[in-house]
Amino acid sequence: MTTSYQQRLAKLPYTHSVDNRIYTDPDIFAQENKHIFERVWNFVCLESEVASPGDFRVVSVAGHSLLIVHGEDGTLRAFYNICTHRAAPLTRQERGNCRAFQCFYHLWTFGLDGSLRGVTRPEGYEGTGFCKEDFGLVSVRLETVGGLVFVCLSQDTQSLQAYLGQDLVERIENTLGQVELEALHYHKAILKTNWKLWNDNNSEIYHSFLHVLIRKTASEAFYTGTGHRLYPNGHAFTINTTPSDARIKYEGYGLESREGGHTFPGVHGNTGWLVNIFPDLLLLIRGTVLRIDRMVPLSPGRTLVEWRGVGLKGDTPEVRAMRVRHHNQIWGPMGRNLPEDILAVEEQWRHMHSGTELSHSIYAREPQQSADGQPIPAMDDENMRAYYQTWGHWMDRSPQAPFGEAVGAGR
Amino acid sequence: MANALEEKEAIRDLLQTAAWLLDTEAFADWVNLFVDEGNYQVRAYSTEIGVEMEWMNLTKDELSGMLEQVIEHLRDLAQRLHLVSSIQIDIHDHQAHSLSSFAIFRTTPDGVSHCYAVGRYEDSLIKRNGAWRFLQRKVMLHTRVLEVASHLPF
Repeated sequence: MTTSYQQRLAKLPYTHSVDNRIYTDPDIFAQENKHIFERVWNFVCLESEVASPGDFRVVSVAGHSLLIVHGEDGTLRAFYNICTHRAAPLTRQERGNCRAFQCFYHLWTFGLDGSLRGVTRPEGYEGTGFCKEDFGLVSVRLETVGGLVFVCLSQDTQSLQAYLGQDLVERIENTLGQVELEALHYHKAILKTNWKLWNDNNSEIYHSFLHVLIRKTASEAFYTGTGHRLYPNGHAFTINTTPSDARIKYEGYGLESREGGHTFPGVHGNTGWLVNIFPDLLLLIRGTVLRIDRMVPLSPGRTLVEWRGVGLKGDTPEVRAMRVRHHNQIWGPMGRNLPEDILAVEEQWRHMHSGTELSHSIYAREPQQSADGQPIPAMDDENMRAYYQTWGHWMDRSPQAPFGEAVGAGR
Repeated sequence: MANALEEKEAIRDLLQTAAWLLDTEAFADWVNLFVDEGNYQVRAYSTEIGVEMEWMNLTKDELSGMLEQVIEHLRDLAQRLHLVSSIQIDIHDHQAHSLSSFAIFRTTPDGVSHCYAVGRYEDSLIKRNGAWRFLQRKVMLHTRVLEVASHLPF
């Protein structure tokens, strides 16, 4: 007698799979923008991208265009990139430097602190009750950690420090906060996939051997020496404790070793350092260079991903060129790994619409032990399960049964 | 000795041959259009961070090593087609500089075609053993949001 897919799935613990409709359903997607991206802390740029008074960046968060501005007083501020007069954008540039923002439409002018400095033909407002002090730019919460700028659209969410937790803040500060970061590279693409599948790919190491480069440079000992540290709010740190003789051997793919110095503080040249911050942020170091991914979900099956390659300010031209090279070899748009990752998540999302009974994705691996009784933390999907538990918290939905149905008897 | 028109025609032929070899994925033959000290670069300007970025910068040997491993990678299955036009050539003895515009189209296995990338080739050329070869090819990409990522040369 054959058993149904649902019956077979029901043998797994309830937390060990998620319903694929969380990746494809339009209502869930719309709810994610409101319930997650409009409420959590979102990374938007590096502090060094707005290093001087008057520097600004325009970024997109949950469908909103935001201005990140370095004020004359040295304070970083965030505002909606919307003129308070009639909603035209204050700037259509992605970055720049200015002394004030002037809306192109009716020429209202705003200071770098968001105050409304001038309106054209002010005599028209006489006797109407209009007051410039009432119509400054709408501000957004902004905080920084380790040279990274975050914004939060909600007034109710805890501080960034509390959202990340002290241990994770210290971990970021100890590596990124000890140096001045510089974006060496920025590119973006619209992936034909759901944003959480890209986050999955950025979080789990199970898929590592998809990559030819990893198959040729990383040993089984390196893989099994990798484990997770989980934090409240769905964040995770992935650490590698492999002994030095089992670290990544870039020479296996014809590339240079990264043990030649100029690594990020506390990171070995031929190992990795990986932080995932809920819901979408990746901070990943391979010795000498930092990669940062952030996402702008566009629809259930379209995701704008922004990639930064980050080095250190003050590098000599030779060291800077080395970091650029190390970034490009693996993570650039012409890198060896990035195209494979993108193909994987796009094909994955496309086939979630196949109409088969395969309704769930499986995150069922648990910690195992080697023959000599040593734990193998890499063989554990715990970080993925924690992530989806957090997703369920913000969404007030079960990722296993997002529409409330029972999923298999006895689960 | 060939006259200037013949030299320019020989350089145009090199540019078209390079496009054809990339279209047909004859990578070893394409790499051999570079002299041994040749260099291949892909660059693009980021309006977001205000930096001219380097996406690839390889010697001939590095290029050869990378392309030999292409077949092992999971990769885009689309067929590419290069169009090269607006060719400007400036010749000085046995060296030349060339500027040209390119457009690359992708056709997926199910027959859907899209423009993939446009930009300029900035080529430094050298005549060696009677044939024009690339001393440096610098690809200046206008397109920065690519439909698919790939480490295949533009």
